[in-house]
Amino acid sequence: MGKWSKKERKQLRTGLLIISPWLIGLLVFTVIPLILAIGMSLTNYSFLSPPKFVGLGNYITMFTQDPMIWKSLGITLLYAVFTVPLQLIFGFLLANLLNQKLKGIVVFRTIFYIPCLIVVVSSTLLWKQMLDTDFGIVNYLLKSLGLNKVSWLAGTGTIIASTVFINIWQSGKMMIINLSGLQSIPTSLYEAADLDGCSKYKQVFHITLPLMTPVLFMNFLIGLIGAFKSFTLFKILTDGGPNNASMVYMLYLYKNAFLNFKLGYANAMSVFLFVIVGALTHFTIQNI
Amino acid sequence: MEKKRRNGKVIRKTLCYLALVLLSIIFMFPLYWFFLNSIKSYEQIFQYPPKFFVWPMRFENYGEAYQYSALDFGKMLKNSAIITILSVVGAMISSSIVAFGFSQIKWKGRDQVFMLVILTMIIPTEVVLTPLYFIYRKLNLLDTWFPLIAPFFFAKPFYTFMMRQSMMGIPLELSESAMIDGCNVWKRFLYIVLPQSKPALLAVMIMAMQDQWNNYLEPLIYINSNSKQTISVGLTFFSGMYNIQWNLVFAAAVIVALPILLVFIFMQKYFIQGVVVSGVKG
Repeated sequence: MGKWSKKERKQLRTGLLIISPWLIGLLVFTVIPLILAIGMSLTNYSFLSPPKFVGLGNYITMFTQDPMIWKSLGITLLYAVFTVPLQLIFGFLLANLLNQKLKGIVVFRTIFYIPCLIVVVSSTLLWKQMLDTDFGIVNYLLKSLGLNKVSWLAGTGTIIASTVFINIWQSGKMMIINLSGLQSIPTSLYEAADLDGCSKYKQVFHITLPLMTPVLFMNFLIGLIGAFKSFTLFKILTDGGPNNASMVYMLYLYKNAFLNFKLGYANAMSVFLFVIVGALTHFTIQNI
Repeated sequence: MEKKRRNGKVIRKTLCYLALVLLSIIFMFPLYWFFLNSIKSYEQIFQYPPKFFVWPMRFENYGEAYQYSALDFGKMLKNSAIITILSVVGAMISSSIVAFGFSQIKWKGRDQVFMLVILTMIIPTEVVLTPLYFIYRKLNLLDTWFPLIAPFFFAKPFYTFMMRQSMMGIPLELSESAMIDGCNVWKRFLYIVLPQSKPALLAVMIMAMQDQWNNYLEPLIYINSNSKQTISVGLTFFSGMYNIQWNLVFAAAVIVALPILLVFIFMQKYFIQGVVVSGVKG
């Protein structure tokens, strides 16, 4: 600090003062709770009895004695594996389509954005009714096409398929981010390519994709973390059922903490989720 | 050659329109069905084969849902409105001030600290839910709106990021010349920088509104009394009731979905512009 001039120190003070709301928020709502979560994960705290230190007991139980942890992780992973790439590819293709200079394109942009404006609780209730085996419109449409009825909300595979579709339907935010990325690519690049006789198809691979890579990676990361923390959709659609077939990680954490009051255990799960998200982020950033 | 090219262009345009129209139908159909369900009678919801039009339209559903005796829908709607308005105000004030500190003020280490903002953007709030519950319990803040609203007053990273990207585009000379004219830092923020970043501010407004109005997990955990509950959670009570009237549930769901849609329609131009201006150029 000694090397700093008086002016620099004054500037630093002003700067820190102005960003202090964020700094305080970071401490109060993220850093302290995270430390507390690590501390509580080493106890058997449950509201009902005073907490007792159990060392790594919760983690040992998690990894060796609780098959639901692995099952819920597996279901979450399955959901992520399908939803993230599909959302990414669809979002990219759609944004390209919506970036064309066509009449009325603004109307189309709005149409694809609207589903993500519907409150998740509302839209999930809607899909629950549309996916109903006997009365649902989805099965009715399948039947009119000569296909068989599907019990959409009866097993892991079909539930994941449904949620992936719902998620793509509501991925307007990703479309907007992609679109803003596309619009920041200078049109002169395409014009030059046109003059050189480069086909539109080639332009996508040699201009659009390379310039969009950072945006796509960002969307990938947002989608991946979003998949790992997904809760509301599964809570309302199936509440983890039937028979835990759609028990995603966050839902299992919620049930442990607030229905079974195993707070120590739930904190261990939170810490593990933090580690997973950290690892995924690290891995993604390394590959940019 | 020229003619061939023009033909190719026409074909490409037609294909684009075709794809857009087809996808639009798929995307809009659930919304149509949503609305249709909300004006059906109880029997029509479970009618098979389903009807694609209903007559007469039962708009009474909306009034009946609003006045449903077992659930204080109006009260919950009001709760959500108050919580959302306070959160939006908090988000707009805090994120714009902090973004100002990260873009228009020079200080050593600023950009390194900003990397931390980007990094914390990634930490899901879900991770700290259980410890925060414990803290709020100790502070007697459970069953109050404090846990829902407070974080919005402390510059959530994503909003701050949006605002900062937009403020980086304002030439420093512009606001610094004001300094020479005797403007202090706060005046510079209020009169020069803030008016310039209106599109981003509106985008933050819509996003904060959407985030809080949509919030489900936090009120579910932090709020116990029905009289303080938000409408998102209230809607699931409604649908979980014994002997549910699904047509009323859908009318209620449409009412809940409407405010965000209306705001978006009014602000749409600014919203898209705001996101595009802030961009993700980094």
